[in-house]
Amino acid sequence: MMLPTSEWMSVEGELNLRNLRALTAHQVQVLRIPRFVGSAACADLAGGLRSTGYSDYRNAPSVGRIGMSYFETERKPEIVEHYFATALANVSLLRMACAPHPFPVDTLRCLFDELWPAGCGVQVLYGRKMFVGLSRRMAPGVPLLAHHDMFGRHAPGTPEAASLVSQFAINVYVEVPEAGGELALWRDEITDAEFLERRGPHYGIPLGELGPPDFTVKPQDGDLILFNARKLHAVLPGVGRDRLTLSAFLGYRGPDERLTVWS
Amino acid sequence: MAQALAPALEQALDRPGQDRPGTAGHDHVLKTSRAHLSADHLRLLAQGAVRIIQVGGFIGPQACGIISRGAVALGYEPYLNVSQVRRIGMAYYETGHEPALVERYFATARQCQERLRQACDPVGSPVDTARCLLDETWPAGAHLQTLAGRKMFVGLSRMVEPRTTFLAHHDVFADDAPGMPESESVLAQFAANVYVRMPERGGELLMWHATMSVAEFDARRQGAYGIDPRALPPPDVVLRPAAGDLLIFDARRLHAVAPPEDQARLALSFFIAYRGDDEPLTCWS
Repeated sequence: MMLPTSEWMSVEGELNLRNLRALTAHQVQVLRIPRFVGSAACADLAGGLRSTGYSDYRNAPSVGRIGMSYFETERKPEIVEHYFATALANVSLLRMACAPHPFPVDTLRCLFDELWPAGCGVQVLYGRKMFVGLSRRMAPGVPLLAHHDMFGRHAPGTPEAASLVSQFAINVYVEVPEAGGELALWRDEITDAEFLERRGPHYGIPLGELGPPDFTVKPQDGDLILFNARKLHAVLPGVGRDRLTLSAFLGYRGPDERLTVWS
Repeated sequence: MAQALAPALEQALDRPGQDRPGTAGHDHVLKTSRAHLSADHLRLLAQGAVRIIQVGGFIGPQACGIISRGAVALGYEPYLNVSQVRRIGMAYYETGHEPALVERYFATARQCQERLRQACDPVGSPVDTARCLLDETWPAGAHLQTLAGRKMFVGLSRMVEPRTTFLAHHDVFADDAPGMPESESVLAQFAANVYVRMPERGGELLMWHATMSVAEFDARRQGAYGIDPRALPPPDVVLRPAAGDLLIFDARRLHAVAPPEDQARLALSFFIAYRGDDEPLTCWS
């Protein structure tokens, strides 16, 4: 779907209901909250996350993470089981990595719950609580390939996925490279079938196979950025230092329904 | 259901290295840790099988120091309707059914929420962590209480100064917000307190098994906000939390705070409503 240029926009401001509604209504594509985490806290969080230790995604090598993304399960029962079995311990691990500072994902969950009329809670799937708050590390020079995020692909035939109206990505930037590491977005939404065909053997579409992104955002340390995860998006390679983030998805099911979060 | 939960009770009370039931003064107290707090524990509390869940070391000593200094710097002010009790934020109880105060409560809720985070900075608000943990632990999740479509405040900070008490009282949401579906649907009301500063002596939580009707309580309190503990039989449960502990207890039962002797007791407090095993928990102050 082509959007008029005026609607293809980024809003900077505070996290409030008006901005959340603009995001869920797709009136803005990118909502950026500068200094969601202070710079001193960012430095401490980066240290705590590094000493907790990153390990590579099962299915996206060269992307390090703490916690586990549901995307990694690829619907394999034993990996799904592992995901749920470790979900709450992983939240606790990230909380400890951030201590004595607040785990920014906890603060965000509380803020969503305070702002959104129907509140916000952790996504439940198959009667079990999902994990939320994945930390990712991208080494310099490594891009995150273009992809879109579709809960329905990973949890097909579930009421939780079927009821989803929109899926937004949430990223808190703990450490970003001086140059590079931009979030890149493309205007077009493609079907999941087309995406799976185009990505071939990779987890995403190599950047060289797409035209230039329609929009890029250069995050700063401490930024919170929310965007429509069903658009193709990628991370451009960073220069000089790692890019550390905390990330989650935000599930929207209508103005009177609870928001849900998961990773 | 009580039977189904019996193993959880056994396990919780029998965890090695922790006090067993029957240990003097610790009857009815279920001791656990942040990592082990479970939905079963909350169900036991709702059923009346235990009176208090003690989550030891919910926050560390460093955080306790930062939060208590931050809270004191922000400034405690007396309750609007109980001048002897000082707090930061506003309890819904203070509205006393006055429309103007109800309006003030809701109008300041978000600001109070942010002030609490500010008082805790740069450490996290333990109330935020507790809310997230409840949402993760409870099958149907936990969220902020709304009342007539408006979000309530959660995370009151309260001070009990030396040689003062919290009189014996019970907390009944339906008494504070009568005739509202949100309050009338509550099956059990828990109080949650994170203790950020404890006196060396005194400051114990005192609890009585008896529940008292609102009418009887109102008759016995004689215009005060609660009943002098000396006018009641000795408390059935006495627990002195350590700084950093989270206690979750049955707020429908009469409870009081013994006078701290050497320094003020500071705690962050909120309520948790239970409306059945398949309903979300809700939190407010």
